[in-house]
Amino acid sequence: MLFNSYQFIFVFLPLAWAVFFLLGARSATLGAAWLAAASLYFYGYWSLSALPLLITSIVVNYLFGKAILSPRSSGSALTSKHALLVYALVFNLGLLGFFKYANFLIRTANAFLSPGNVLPAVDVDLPIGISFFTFTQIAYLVDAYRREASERSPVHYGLFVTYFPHLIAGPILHHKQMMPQFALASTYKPNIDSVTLGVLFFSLGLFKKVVIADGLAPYADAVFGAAREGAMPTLSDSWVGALAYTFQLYFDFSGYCDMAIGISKLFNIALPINFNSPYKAASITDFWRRWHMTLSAFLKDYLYIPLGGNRRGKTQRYRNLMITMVLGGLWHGAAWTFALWGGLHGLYLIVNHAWRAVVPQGLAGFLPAWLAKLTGIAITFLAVLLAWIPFRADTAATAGRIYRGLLGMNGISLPASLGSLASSPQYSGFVFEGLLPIAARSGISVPHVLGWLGAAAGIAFFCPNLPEFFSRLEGGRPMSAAQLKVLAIACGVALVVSLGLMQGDSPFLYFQF
Amino acid sequence: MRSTLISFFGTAVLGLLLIGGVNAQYRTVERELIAHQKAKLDRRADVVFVGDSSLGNSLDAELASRLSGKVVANLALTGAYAVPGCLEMLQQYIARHGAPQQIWIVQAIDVLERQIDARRVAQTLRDASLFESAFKLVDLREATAATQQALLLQGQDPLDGDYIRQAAPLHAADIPADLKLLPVSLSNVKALRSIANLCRTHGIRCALAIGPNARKQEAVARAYIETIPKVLPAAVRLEGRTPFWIDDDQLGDSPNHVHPRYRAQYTEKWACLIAPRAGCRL
Repeated sequence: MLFNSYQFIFVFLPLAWAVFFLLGARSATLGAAWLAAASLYFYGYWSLSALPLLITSIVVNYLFGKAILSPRSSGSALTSKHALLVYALVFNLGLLGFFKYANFLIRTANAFLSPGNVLPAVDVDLPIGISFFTFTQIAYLVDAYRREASERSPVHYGLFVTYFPHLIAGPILHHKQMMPQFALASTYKPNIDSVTLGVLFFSLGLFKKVVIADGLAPYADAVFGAAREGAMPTLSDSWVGALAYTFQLYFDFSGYCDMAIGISKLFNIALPINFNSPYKAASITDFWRRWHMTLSAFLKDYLYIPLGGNRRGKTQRYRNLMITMVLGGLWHGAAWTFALWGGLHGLYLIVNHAWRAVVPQGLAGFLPAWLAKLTGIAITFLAVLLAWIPFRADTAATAGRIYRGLLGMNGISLPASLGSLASSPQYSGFVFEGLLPIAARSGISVPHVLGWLGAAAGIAFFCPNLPEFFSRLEGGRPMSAAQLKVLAIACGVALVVSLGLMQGDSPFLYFQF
Repeated sequence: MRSTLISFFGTAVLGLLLIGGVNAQYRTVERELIAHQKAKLDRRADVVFVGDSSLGNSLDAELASRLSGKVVANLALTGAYAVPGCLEMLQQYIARHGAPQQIWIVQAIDVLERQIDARRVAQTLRDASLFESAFKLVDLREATAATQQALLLQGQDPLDGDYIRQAAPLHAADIPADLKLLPVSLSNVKALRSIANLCRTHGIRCALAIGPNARKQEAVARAYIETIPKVLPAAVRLEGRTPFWIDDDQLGDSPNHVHPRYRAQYTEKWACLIAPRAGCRL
């Protein structure tokens, strides 16, 4: 079930909310059990065939966690908590490896084998959300091993993993953030402040997804689709396609997270913030503190630091950064294009750290502070945009065609009305098929494209993000009654417009990961 | 917070009522066409034609039925739906009646390159849920056929018998001889593969035909057609005797629209393809 579907908004969510508080008033355990059951239904509605796998994963990991936390788990080498953790990690990574990476490894191996000896593909479908629920549980097990987690209630553990606002695409939850909230009696009593914040967050998140991200999608799809089919996008088409995808992905995923935060607020549960205006970042390090923050924290805590982090000198630090980012790339998808995306970001981070080591004061040492910041934002945005190309492209060849286009190597297209210039030698590198020939062939006009991109860029670069904005309602500088009314009406309009434009089957981009 | 919540829900409910009211009244040419073509799904046929306006303007199903001796259905939509639209109509047809004897997918040459959002197509062509029909905002892209939309607003029928009424015919001089075409789009290839699966599973004879096109563009169209077999699944053959070339005096309001006066003449050609008989002229 999608957050952006009528079934979810008008049936599932109101029912889940009302029964949660009805049962919660009698017993907190009953309320939590209902929410866990509703979450399993939510998952099964999307992917019934993957439901047994999710339940198995939860049961096995709960039992591993309980065994690791048991005082008896320090006996022989085979049953020590260290050994139990290793078994649990093998189980989790084995599941993830089989369902997500088996065919990737087979395809890679087949590239080196003769045609007569190729390995057959494994007939499995990727269970939706497997990367998220596996990582959530690995973090729990590692923390149990470190004695930083101590959950013993199977209902709360099941709810922690399945909790439907985050189950499919994050944010990646940490038990320390969630378990105390499940244990609070006040969680099970409806709270008008939380409900108000929840519906406002949800409405604006829905608007970001349905209106902005889905509005940008046709431009990105047209250019990347044509490049995949062998077309060579011109300079303008390539830039429009790359920019459209850059903003689409941000509004899609951050819209999803805002909706998740809003839905969760309805149930009195606070979810961690996952985005903090990432395209305003003035360096790539800053970008990774703002983009998919819960994944960044996970990779840092459970991969980069265990690898040695920055404790063993610069070379080791750079190596660890590259390993973390390449593996982070492969976490997103089982394809070399994702590894390339991760590798590019690893390289960016290495360059960023090396630059800081050589020039500690950064650009501010040469330029006025405002210009240094502006330059930093521009360079970072450009680097991020270039890295999104292999992330979106199906193959390296597709990415290559877009990169060529960005450099103008596929030609520059001008309006057809200037076609008379074609005979002139100085216009030999130009084609006269309109400013955006690929977009035009998909029925997309230039003003449409520029309008969408302008609006998206304006919001991404100049507006406060929703958590910043709503922090004013949660203890920051209070708004006047009139301001609150305007905000409520604006959110009501955003909801109506989003409901009116909702596509029946437009999943979030991060669902595929 | 209570007044904030009341303002929010008050706005939302008022907005939804407004949209519901407008939706109940608003009509577009495209909606009229879809309703007209989907009504035909209730009738069983031996030969099912799906495609775009090049088909809609060139095939009279009743005449084709008489000429071929087979019950012919013409489920043509527009180029905005391309092959994904054909797939959706065929799936709906087969779900009701099972396999027909023949399926013809007819697309104009410049529709094959179009990247189409298959999800949107499927959503539009399936029966809307109560929520969708009540809250869906009117899509301005549906109202692109300005001339026909104007007829609708004046209370006239935008359909001319069996398809969208044409605007004033083109002058041949306004048609460019050169066409710059992209390869067949991924969305069309994917839909062709799905149709091929249907054809294979149900044992249906399936063919892709290129819709009638202005003779002026023959050279460039032929070169493009030669590239199509590379992406065409085996279960769908390419009908090499198409496109039927439209002479300048037979042109309708587009390079691939036959003028309504000549629809019968082109219907004879389609009938010859589905049931060859003595005296057939293509």
